[in-house]
Amino acid sequence: MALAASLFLPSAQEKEAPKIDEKAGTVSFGAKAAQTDKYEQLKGAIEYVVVLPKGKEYESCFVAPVDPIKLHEALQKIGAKPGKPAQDEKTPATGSRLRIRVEWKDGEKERREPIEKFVLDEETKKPMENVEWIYSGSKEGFVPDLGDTGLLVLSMKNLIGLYQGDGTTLVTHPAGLMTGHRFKANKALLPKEGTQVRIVIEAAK
Amino acid sequence: MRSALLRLSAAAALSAALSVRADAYVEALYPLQQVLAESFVIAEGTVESHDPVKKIASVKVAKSIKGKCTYEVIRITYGGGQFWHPEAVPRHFVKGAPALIFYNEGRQAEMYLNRFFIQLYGDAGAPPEKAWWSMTHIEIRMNRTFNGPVAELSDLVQKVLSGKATPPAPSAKIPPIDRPHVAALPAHGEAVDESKLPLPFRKHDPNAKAEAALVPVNPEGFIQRWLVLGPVPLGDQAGDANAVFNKEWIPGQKSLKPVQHGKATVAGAGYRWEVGDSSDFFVDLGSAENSMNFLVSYVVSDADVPGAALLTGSDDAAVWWLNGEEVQRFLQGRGCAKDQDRTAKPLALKKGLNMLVCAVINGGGPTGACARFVDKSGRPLLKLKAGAEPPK
Repeated sequence: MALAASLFLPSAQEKEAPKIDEKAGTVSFGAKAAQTDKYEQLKGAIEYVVVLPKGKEYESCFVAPVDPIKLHEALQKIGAKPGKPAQDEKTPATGSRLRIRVEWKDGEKERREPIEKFVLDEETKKPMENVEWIYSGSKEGFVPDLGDTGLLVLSMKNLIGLYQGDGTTLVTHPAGLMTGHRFKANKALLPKEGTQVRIVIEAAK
Repeated sequence: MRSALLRLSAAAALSAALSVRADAYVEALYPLQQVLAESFVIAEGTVESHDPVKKIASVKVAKSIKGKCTYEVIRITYGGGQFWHPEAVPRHFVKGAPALIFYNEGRQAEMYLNRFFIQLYGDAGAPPEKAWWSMTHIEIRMNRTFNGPVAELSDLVQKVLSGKATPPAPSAKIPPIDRPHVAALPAHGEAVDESKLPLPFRKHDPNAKAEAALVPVNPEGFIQRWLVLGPVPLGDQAGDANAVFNKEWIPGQKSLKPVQHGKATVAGAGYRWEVGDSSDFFVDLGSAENSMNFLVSYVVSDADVPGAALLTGSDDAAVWWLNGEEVQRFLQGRGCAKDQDRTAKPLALKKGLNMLVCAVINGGGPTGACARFVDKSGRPLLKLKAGAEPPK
């Protein structure tokens, strides 16, 4: 059956290529701090740490107009290997482990923090513990914007997730939680909405 | 000065957003009235096409019921949905099957298709003829909001919006939807025997009695069974939790010993006590804004426990009474989590029956509460039983 495939393809300006530093073994891309508490009913709950524009911005810490396919390629260039998204609670996500940090300018001061610090764990009432994220790779399927099969991160637009139940993210949290309301944005650390930051990813050694 | 609770409730009232959490399931009891109030557009249509290989479908919009639907066709991609959900929905995208869509200005949406809701999100900036809506998941708990045929919901929605009908309250008794239920649900066009539908799709009989007997606390010590009364509308009073808690809403409320389906009049309106079971550690009390719920649990201990403490959590403010004495009061807005508060003075749990009563105020969003007892060393009391009726 032929459904009219969308011809709506984001312009080149909307998606940026990540920067690869092969010597340092890092991949980085620009992002902005997301708006928090857009919907009071969510009571600050988030499900992602990084999304693309038009992804779940109101449930994320950062929004990054990065090309997810180029990011996927770049991660492999620094030696990380994508695994598979979780199938269910008994089959969690697999893939190379990554460390992710955020760099930004806070007044005159250059700052960098592990991305986990921007997430509050409601169970411990503290910022999330440092982890090594899983490069699960997004599951594939028909992507209307392409009119063809591709990585579903292109249609769902959520890049780095906190719950493995969403198998369309490129990277996911290792805790193996499938869904929930355990995490909130750490507003004490998160820069104000719209602040430019740099997300830096490296393969965990 | 407005309290945090009132600011929370005012923002919730003004927000045009659906209370649905895109990606997170709608967990709270979600009244249909709230769905209608928070929808910018409600439209009905029929499934026009379906490609199970590409996991895409389209619904041709026939008419707007609320607002103006600017989409002639709602084009859906469901391959990115969570877990088993993309495999479960295809057989229900039957050509000609009716569907209702509820969406807000941000294009967060719920579509009702053959007795269950699916969560969608669209791109508000895309031209309607090019827009795609991505399914995140089946709303496994919104069958508590409504679970009849689409035509029945459409008819009900139109009557409610025109003032000719009162929307039903959500039914907490209906179990969540799981994969086998969706698989066993007859698709549009197939014969339906209402009595043989999977439980999550069967209408709940409000006069049937729920299991009320004492049950053990969970492995962490959290009370699992309550009697619940509410939600009692508070209006502006919700902003002054202290004043609300200082008022006697039900005669003898500190020492209540209600029964299932027992009636109570609160602020001139009639209510009924219903059994409410906890899900994991907390009891879900719905999401009626600016309201209050009462909770009672018959807690039975097999021994005297001097020096105990009560650890509680609530969304939002709450006051707790144990055996007729106030033991805890929290006055702010927050989400519910384990062990948010601990009673300051040692408590004496009696061997035998102890009555635990609570009043919880909700500003906006979901509301709920949790409680467990610990001994003087902080160890959860795991031998307690608690229920919605006294021990036999």
